[in-house]
Amino acid sequence: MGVTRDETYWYRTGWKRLCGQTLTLVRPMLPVLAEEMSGDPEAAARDFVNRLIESIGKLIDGVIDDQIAYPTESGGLHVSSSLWSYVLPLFGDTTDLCKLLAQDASLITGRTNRDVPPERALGRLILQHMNSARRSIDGESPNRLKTWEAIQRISSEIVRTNPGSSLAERCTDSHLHAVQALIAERYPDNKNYNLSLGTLQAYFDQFCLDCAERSETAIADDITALCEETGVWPPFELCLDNLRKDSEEQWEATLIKSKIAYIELQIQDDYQKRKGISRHEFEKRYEKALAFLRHCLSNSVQFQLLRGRSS
Amino acid sequence: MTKPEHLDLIAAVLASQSEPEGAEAMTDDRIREALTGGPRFTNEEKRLLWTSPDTRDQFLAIRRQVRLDLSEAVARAGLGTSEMRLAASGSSSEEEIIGNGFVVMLFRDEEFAEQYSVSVELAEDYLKLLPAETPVALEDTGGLVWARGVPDAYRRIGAIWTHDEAPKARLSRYKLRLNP
Repeated sequence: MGVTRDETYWYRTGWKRLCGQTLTLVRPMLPVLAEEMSGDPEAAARDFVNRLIESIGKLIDGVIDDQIAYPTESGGLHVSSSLWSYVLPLFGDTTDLCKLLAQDASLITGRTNRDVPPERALGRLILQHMNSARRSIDGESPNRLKTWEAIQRISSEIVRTNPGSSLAERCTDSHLHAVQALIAERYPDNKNYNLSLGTLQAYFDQFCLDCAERSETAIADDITALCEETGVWPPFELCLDNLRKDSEEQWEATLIKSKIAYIELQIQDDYQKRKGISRHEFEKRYEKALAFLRHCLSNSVQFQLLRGRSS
Repeated sequence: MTKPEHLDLIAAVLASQSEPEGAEAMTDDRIREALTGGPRFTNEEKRLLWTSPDTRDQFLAIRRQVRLDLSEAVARAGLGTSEMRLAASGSSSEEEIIGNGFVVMLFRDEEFAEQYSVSVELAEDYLKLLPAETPVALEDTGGLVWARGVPDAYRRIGAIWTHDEAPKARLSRYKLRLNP
């Protein structure tokens, strides 16, 4: 160990994560942006970008703003990560971003016939801007960019020619296999395009806007991978039992939020009504539960590592 | 043991972690080395994987790349796949499915008629392609994982069948694959 993550790390290997975390920060800001855009879209875009920059600054300082009152609900922002120091420079020149945001006001506010959710429309604009800013800062090698452009053409062609397939499928193993096969067919003699699946994956991680966030299934697979490679299988049921003993209401909030069917299936809104609690109160309980479970999980991992257990 | 239904919640708990103060990073090379037959992760490194969201993300990205390259090597060697039809042998309480580079044994408990267990034995050719301690997963083409784990000294992994649909019913629709 003994190394730190620098620009090279965050703008390459860590790029996907950096983008995912930025989107997590941006997402709760959409309602205000959409509302303001019904007035003056250009002013709304400028204000939004300023708020975003301010929030990134606060994250660098380790200050949690009110606007991210529910970090768990928004998927988790890692306040103390070094990545924020590398997000900020990407928003140095935001003239083009503001223009694009204002131009796409109808998409962002959802006042369009096009089937693009506002969250996705905003996310794509932010990611496009970040990609472009990264290239000017990081000076990505022309060869690598050229290779990505070829990969992207093939990838888009596969999505286009397969009815029913979605852009999100570009992040699956089967899509990578299809891309690899078609590249081999199109460029049989070009050694630059003789790419292994792992290398293709690295290109998608670094460049593909549609793959900035992991699907739910993929996230569960990740946890299994973590358990397998570390030999640590936390007996999480004990943590849940302990949570229940500590606080029945936090335990209930956890089960409902995570859709674990131990208790009669209930949706969050119904539960809140039945218990006479606000959404804020529900989220507060869930956050407290997460804090409890974090502590329990950490102890459990520590215990298993000390014992050298693998089962 | 961690239950599959808890994986999403564990993911949510881990996603809510803060980066540990003063945590040092692992290099891409070190992670790749541990995943490709070099010295395995130390306890300190394992702890970091569980406590640092940034390190975990880095590890998972590199692991996906390593596993894809391994699965490509397995496919290139013509291993890891099986035909759809059952190659039945032995008594009705046992079924054997012969794949390319692996054999699956299905055992049905006589006393609990619907209780199955699954055992997978890897051929030496298959195992030779994998760095030491590499976990493998037996899954069907419908996406259901039948068994997973690191092959033991007898080149085997095993699991108790916990799914609602019987394994033979799935075999009538799907093929089996053994993936690194």
